[in-house]
Amino acid sequence: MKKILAIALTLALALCLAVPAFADEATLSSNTTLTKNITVSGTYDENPTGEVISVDVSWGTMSFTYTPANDGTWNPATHAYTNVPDPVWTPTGNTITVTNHSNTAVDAELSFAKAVDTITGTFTETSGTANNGKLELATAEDTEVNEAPTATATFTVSGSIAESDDLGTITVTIVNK
Amino acid sequence: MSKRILISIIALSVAFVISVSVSIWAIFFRDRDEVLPPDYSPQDTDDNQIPIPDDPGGEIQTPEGGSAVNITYAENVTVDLSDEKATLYYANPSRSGQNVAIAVVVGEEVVLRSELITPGNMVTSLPLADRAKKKLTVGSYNAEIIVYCYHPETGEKAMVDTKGTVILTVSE
Repeated sequence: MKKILAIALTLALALCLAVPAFADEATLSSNTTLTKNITVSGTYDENPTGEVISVDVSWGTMSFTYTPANDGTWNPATHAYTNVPDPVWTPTGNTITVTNHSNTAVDAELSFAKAVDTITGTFTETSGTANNGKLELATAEDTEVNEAPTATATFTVSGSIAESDDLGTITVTIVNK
Repeated sequence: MSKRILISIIALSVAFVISVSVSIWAIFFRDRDEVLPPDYSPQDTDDNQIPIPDDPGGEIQTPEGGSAVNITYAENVTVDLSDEKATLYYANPSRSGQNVAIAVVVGEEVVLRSELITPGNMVTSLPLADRAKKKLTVGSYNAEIIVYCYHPETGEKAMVDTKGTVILTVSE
């Protein structure tokens, strides 16, 4: 009898191993915090929709041509190849420009989700400012529409590809500062 | 080794394998409601889109052969669980050169998705996704609004997506 009970309990424990994997099925947790005191307050909310963010994002054709290395030129005098070229990426329309029309300063964070494992995408602000793919834009308050704060980055690709393919997707994330 | 012990070991081994398999499936292969934007635009324009009042028009300067979009949105999104709708503000002004579709997500959970919003139009109300109706509770969430751009003629998805942060407030 004891043995049967032990086996049943062991089986139950073994099946419990899978339970933690379902943990994320729980209801989404909210940011609401419980407070000790109950207060009655009136709120005057002048702007119930919150701040309105408005930015223009423009980009070029984002076309990249990869020319792989080749053997170069055969030199019969030395029995060696000379002028062996390095692989080259030739970009066309590889700029992204973000213009801020909001009444608040924003950052435009640029990221690249590659679809090909063997490549890397890099963003460089046109002004040459060292950055991590982040364009900092001042508020558009007190500026004319055609003089809104704007910043441009170039996107370059390195690495190699074996055939023509979609390279990936660029995401521009707007962050209210 | 007695037959009974052998059977016990086999039974326990099978239970262990089942448990590990279920864990692996639940972690890596279970169906999740992630955003998978189609490579070509949704076929229908959103029923909830309405013209933008006083749309100033104009055009965004675009590099040759390139594209441009304006994204305009309010940072507060409210959800009323009783009518299963979200109130928000997203505008795609006529100076945008792209059709867009938007999604609001909390983590990987899609709270709502729109059909196509064409230039010159906006949405102020969208229905909740089915799963979100069950999973949201009263309170506030840090969420993201994701904007997918589609070429107005070919319907092809642009290489560039945009997104921003919003506060999602849920009430009963």
